[in-house]
Amino acid sequence: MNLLLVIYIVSAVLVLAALVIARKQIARGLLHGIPSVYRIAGMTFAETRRRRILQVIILLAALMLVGMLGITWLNPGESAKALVSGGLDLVFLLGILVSIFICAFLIPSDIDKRTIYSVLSKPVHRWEFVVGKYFGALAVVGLLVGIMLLVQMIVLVATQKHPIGLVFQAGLVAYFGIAVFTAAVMVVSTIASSLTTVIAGFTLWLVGSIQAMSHSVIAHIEGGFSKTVLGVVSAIIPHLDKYDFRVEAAEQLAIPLVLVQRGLVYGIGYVAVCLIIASLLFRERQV
Amino acid sequence: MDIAISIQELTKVYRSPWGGKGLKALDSLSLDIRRGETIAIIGPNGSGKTTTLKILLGLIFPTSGGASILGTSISTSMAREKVGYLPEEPYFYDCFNAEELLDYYGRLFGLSRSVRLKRMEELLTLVGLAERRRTPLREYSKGMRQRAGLAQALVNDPEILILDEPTSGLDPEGAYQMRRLIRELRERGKTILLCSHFLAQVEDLCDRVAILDQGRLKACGSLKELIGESRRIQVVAAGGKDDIIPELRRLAKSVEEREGKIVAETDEEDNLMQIIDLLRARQGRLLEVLRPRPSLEQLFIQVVSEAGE
Repeated sequence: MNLLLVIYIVSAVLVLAALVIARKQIARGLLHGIPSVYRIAGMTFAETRRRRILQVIILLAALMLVGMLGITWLNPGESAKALVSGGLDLVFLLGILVSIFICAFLIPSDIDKRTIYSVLSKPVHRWEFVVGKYFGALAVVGLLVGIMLLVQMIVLVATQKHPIGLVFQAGLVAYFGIAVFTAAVMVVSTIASSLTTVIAGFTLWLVGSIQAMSHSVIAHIEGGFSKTVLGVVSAIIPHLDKYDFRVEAAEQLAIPLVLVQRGLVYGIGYVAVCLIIASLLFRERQV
Repeated sequence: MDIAISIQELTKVYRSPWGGKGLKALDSLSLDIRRGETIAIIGPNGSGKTTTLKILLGLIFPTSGGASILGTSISTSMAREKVGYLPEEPYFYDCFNAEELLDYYGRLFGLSRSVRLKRMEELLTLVGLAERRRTPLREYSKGMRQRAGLAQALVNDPEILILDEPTSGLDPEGAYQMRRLIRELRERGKTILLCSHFLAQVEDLCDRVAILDQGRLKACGSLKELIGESRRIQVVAAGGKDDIIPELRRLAKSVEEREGKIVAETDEEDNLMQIIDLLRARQGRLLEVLRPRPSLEQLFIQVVSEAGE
C-alpha cells in the first residue's frame, strides 16, 4: 500500500513539475489546442457512431436487455435486484467492449488507412490529435452508456417501481471507470496495431477487474522483488474496482461519497498521466 | 529571391528495430523552392520523393538536416498553416460527404463558419463536385475522390500546394481535368510542389524539375537548363521533282524518306531558308518545320542510368 502511495505521489509531483516548467508553452498551446481537440473529438464522434461495429454492439445491448427482462419475468421475487445488478453489469461490460474496439480502430486504423495524412498535414499538434481522439471515443461510449442506462431505468420504473436514483449514480460512476480504462487502452493504441490494442485492452480489463483481489495478495507477500514488481504492475493497471457500486444500487444502500471522491481523484490523475504518456509516445511516431 | 520552401541537408535513415545500418532514403538533400513556381520532384521508385514530402508535412521526422516553409521551421505545426496537401491516394473518412469533409478540414484550420461555407461553395464548384456534395465519399469514383482531395487541399486557400501523384489512377478525362485545375492554380500564383511519374505531365506543368535518385539530388533546373536549347531543325515536305532529294542532301545535314514524306535536318538556321526556297523551286510541298529536343524522359533515363553506373 505504501509503495502505491509513493508511486502516486511521484506521478503527481512529475505532472505538477511538468506543468510549472512548461506553463508558458502550455498556456499558448491550450489557446490553440482546446479548439483543435474539440474539433478532432467532434469528428471522431461523428465518424465512430457511423461504424457498423458500434451499431452491432448497440443491437446486441438491446437484445441482452430484452433477455434480462425475460429472466426477471421467470424469477419475479429477485427481478428488481437482478435487473439492477445485471443491467449495470451489461452497461459496464459493453462500455468496456466498445472502448476497446473504438481505441483499436481509432489511431491504428487512421495510420493503416492513411486517413491520418490529411489530418496531421494540417496545423494540428500530435497531442491535440491524441487527446481529441480520446474525448471523441469517450463521447461515443457516453452515448452508448447513456442510452443503456436510460432504457434500464425506464424498464425499472415501468415494471418494478424500483427507485432509480442509485442506479443512475452507479451508472455514472461506472462510466467514469470506463473513461479511466479508455485512457489506458489509448496509450497502447498510440504505438500498437489494432490487434495488439484489442489484446492489450482485454488484458487490462481482466487484470483491472481483479485489482481488489491483487491488493490482498500483495499485502500477504513478504517484501522483496516480487512484491515490488506486483506493486508496480498494480499501480499501472487501472483500478476498475473503484467504480463498481452494483451491490449498493441493487440493495438500495447509499453509495459512500468518500469512495466516489477517491475514485474521481484517482481517475483524473490516471487519465492525465495516460494522456501525457500517449501524447509523448505519439509525438515520436512516424506515420 | 523569395523562397517558399527551403530544404537544407535533409537526411533520412529508416532504421530497423533489430539494429543494423538502416536504409538511407534521403542523403543530404538541399533544395530551395521559389514562391509562385511549379516544381516537380521526379525519380524512380524508392528515390526519396515521398519521404521528402512526408518530412515537409511533419508525418515523419528527418534523421538530420531541416527545412522551413515560408520561413517557419517544419518542426512546428504552424509551418503547415499555409500548406495544402493532396496525398497520392486520398484516403478520407468515407462515411462523410464532400461538404462534411471540407467543413472538418476547414475547422482544423480554424476557419469561421461563414468562411467555411464560402470556401465550400467555391471549391466544390472548382473541382466539379457541387452536384454530388451530399453523396458519401465511399460512393465516389477514384477521379471524384481525387478531386475531393484537391478541394480539401485548397480549403485554407494555401500559398503552397504539395501534390503527390495528382493524376495517378485517373482515366484520361480525369487526368486532363486535374491538369487543368493545377494550371489554373498556377496562374493564381500558388507555389506548387508535385511528385509524379508522368513525365509528360511534368513537362507540361512545371517551371523546374528536380531529379532524385537513391535519396540524392541528381539534377535540378528548368527544362531549358536541363535539356538545353536544341539547334536541330527538321523540315518535313512532300512531293516535288525527282532531283529534289539529291539537291536537299547538298544543303541539309541529313535527308530521309519516311512514309512518303521527306524529312531534312540541319543545324544551321541560314540553311533553313535555302531548303524552303529549294522546295518551292522543285514544286515540293512544305508540311512542317520542327525544332525537336530531347524529352524529359530521355534526360531522366540518362541521369538515372549514369547514377547507377
